[in-house]
Amino acid sequence: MNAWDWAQLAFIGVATAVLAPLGGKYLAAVFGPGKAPGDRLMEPIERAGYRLLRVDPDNEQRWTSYALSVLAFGLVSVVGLYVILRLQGVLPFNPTRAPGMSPALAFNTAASFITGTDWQAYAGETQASYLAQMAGLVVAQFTAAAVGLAVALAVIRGVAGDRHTVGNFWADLTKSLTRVFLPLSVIGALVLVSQGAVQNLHGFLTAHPVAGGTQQIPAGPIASMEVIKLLGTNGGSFLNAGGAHPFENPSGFTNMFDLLLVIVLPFSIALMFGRLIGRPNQGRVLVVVMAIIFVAHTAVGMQAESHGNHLIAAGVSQQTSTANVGGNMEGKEVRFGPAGSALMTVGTMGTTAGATDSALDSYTPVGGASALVAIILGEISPGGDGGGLYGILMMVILAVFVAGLMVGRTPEFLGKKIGPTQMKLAVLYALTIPFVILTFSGFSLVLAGPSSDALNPGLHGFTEIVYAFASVTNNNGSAFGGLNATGIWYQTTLGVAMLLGRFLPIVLALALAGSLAGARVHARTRATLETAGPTFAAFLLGVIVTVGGLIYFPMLMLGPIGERLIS
Amino acid sequence: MQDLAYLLLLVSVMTLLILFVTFCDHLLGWDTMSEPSPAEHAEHVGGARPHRRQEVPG
Repeated sequence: MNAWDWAQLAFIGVATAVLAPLGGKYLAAVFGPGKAPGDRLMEPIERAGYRLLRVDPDNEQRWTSYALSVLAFGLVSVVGLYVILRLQGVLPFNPTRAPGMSPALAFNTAASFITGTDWQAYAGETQASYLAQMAGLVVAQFTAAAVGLAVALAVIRGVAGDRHTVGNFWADLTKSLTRVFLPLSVIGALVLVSQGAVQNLHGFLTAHPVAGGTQQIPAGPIASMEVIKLLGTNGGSFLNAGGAHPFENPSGFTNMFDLLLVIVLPFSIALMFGRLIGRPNQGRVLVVVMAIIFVAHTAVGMQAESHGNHLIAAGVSQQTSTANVGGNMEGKEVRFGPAGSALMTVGTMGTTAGATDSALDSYTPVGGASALVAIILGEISPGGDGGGLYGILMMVILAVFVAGLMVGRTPEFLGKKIGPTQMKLAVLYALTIPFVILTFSGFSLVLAGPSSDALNPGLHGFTEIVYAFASVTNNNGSAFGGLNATGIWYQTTLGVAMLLGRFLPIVLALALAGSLAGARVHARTRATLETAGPTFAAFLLGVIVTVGGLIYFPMLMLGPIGERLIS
Repeated sequence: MQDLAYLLLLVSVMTLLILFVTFCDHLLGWDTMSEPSPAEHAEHVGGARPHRRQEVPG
C-alpha cells in the first residue's frame, strides 16, 4: 500500500477514536439512570408508543420472558414482511411494477432482513416495490438493529446488575429506535443526499444515450435505506450493486463516511458498557481487542489487494504507478481503487453489515480469506449493534474461566463467580454458529445439485459455498459471489441458517445474563483476576483467535489457504 | 401450498427456539439443584466433623 492508502485507514482510526467515546457517553446517558439529552422531546412519543403496545416500561422481565418477547417479535415480523413481499405486485406504491416474490425468495428475504443479515438473493431495483423497500425492508432494518441493542442492554444488566431481572424488551426496543437509530438516520441520510446519493420516488427514469436507443435509470428512496443499512449494521442495499453504485455511494468521502456509519456505533456500545457498569476501563479493553482485530483483517485485505493477483499473466502490471493509476483493479470499484475498495469491503466484514463496494470472488485468496476470517471470528471486530458486545462478552467469560484455571484463581467477572452453568452456556455459544455453518455447508457440498451451483471448480468453489453459510449464519449477509443461490435449496437452507444464527446466540447470551442476574457480587481482593488491563486484553485476543482457529482452520485449509498454496 | 410450507417451516424453527429457551432455563435450574443449598453448605463448612482416618490395628 502507498502512503495515501495508509492515510485512509488512519483517517478511519482517528475519526472512530474521536466519535466512539462521544457515542458511548450519549448511549450511557440514554440507557443509564438519570436524565438524558432528548428526554423532553422523546418521552411523550415513547409514552404514546407504550400505551399503543399496552406495555408498562417499568415492568422488568426475567431472561426467559425477555427471550420469548424477542422470539415472538421475530416471528410476527418475519410473517409480516413475508406477506408484504408476496403481495407487493398488487399493493400500491409500485412504480417499477415489481411482481410479487416467489414463496422461497420471500421466505429467504424476510428471514434475512428481520435477522439483520440482509443477504439479498434479488435485485432491489427490479424485484422490490417502493412499498416493500420502505414499509418492509427499511422498517426491518431499524427493528433488527434495535433488537440487537436491546439484547446487549439486557446482557449488561444481567452480567453486572444486582437484580434478578434483565429489563423490559419492549421499552429497550422503543428507546433504541427513538433515541439512537431514528435521529442518527435522519442526520446520516441528509449527509448522504448532500453528497449526491439519490432520494426520490420517481421510478425508472428514461435516458436517451448518444449511441441511440433508451436506457432505464433506476431511482427511488435510496439514501434513506442506505443510512440504516450501514448505521444498523444491516448491509441490505436498495440497488443490486450495493456500495459500488454511485447513487448509493457517490464519492470517496461517502465511501469512508459509510464505513464510519458502520463501525462507530458498535465501538460506542462497548464504551457504553464500561460506563454503565462503572468501570470505563473494562469497556476500553473490549474496544482495544475489537480494534486490533479490525485493523488486522482490514490491513491484510488492503495489502493483499494492493499487491495484485499472482494468477494474472506475468507482464500485466498491477502496481499503481504513473503509467497505471489503477493498479490491481480486478474486482474493484473504479472510483476507489484497490485499497479504497478493500478498506470498505473487508472493513465491514467484522461487523454484521457486510456492506461491500467490490467483488470478493475476484479478490486474491489472501484478500478473500481476510474477509472470511473477520466473519468466522464471530463478528466482534467491532460486530453488530449490540451483537458485537454480547458476542465478545461470551468470549470474555471463556477467557476468564481459562485464565482462572491457569493461575489457580476462582473465575470471576465483575465480581460474579463464573461456574459450570456459565461455562456450559458460553461453550454452547461458541459451538452453535460453527455447527450450523459446517452442517449446512457439508450437505451442500455432498449433494449433487447444490454443489454444482458453485460456479467455480475446486477450492475456490468450496470457498464460495462455505462463505455463503458463514456469512448468513453470522448475520453478515455479504456474498462472496460465484454461487447460484436462487434455487429452492439455498434459499431455504440459507433462510433457516439466518434464523438459527440470529436467535440461538441471543437465547444463549440472555440465558447467561439470567444465570448471573442477581448473583452475589464479591468484593475485589488482591487475588481477583484483573479483567480491565492490558494483560487480560492480550489474553482475550489469544482466546478469540485460538477458538476461531481451532474450529475453522480445517475449513480455511480446504478453502482460501489451500487455493493460495497450490495456485 | 408453498406459502403454507414456508409458514410451517418458520413456525417449526421458532418453536424449536422457544423449546431451546425452556431447555436453557431447565439447565440453569438443574445446575442450581446440583449445587448445595446455603444450609447444606453451612453445615458442611461449619458444622460437619472432618472425616477421621480409620486406624488400622497392628
